[in-house]
Amino acid sequence: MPTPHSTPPRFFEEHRERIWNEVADLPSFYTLYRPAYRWAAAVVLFIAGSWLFTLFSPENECISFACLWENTSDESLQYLDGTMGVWLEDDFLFEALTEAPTNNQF
Amino acid sequence: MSQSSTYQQPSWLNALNSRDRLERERAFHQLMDAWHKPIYTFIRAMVGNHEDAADATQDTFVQVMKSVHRFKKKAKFSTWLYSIARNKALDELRRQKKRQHIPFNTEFDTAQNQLQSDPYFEGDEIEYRLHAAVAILPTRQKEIFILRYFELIPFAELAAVIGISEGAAKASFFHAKNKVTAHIKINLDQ
Repeated sequence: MPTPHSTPPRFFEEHRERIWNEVADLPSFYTLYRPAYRWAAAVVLFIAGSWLFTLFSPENECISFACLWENTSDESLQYLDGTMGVWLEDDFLFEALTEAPTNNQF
Repeated sequence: MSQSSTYQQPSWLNALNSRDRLERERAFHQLMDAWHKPIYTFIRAMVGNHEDAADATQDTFVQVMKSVHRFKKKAKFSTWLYSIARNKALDELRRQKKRQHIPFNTEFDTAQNQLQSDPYFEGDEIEYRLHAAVAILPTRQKEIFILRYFELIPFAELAAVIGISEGAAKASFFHAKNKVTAHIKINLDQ
């Protein structure tokens, strides 16, 4: 809708020129942010590389009993009653054998 | 379908941020061809005089050029542009208050006298009354009235510019229109 507002002669032309003079030398987005993007890309690559290295690097294998024991979870140490019975019988047999008097009478 | 895909953005929008200065300048002129006068007119109606409107319009377009890379294109370009212009106009109104400049939002007669002393206001009697009545509206109602009545912006878009619901924008416009009509009638009757 037309309004009764008027402007000085050549206002819009001169005003446009003034605005362009103010913005003409602004660094563009790419110039301004390219270094930042490069750094961000480097950081992302480093993190991704570290993660992949951790993911695919072979775990250290145990070479001692202590290490094996540490890596054995309690849940995995479950035995059937039958097995426990056999072990108990073995213990009794062992005790009976060790406590029995020797017949070595040379 | 996403909302963003429904908005057709101006063809020169991306070039505003081009690294090629010539391309950027061409896009800048296309931007100004399309929006310089509408934005000046909106700000002029908001702040009430040519000098302050020229400053706020310049600030608006400088801001557009500086931050166009942050425009997400999820809204219409015009909505984003009017939001910036609105903020610059409100900044100018605050500056006017600080300068102890008798603001427009005082009384009808004062507003009308200011318009009559403005060398860049060329209206007839009814236009003086209309613009004086608009000038003394509360800021929110004034911006809604100007955007709808003078700039012919749809309610949905002007609500997005201001950051309120469409219903609230319609209600504010209704109140503003009643006040303006009342002022014009009272003053025509006198």
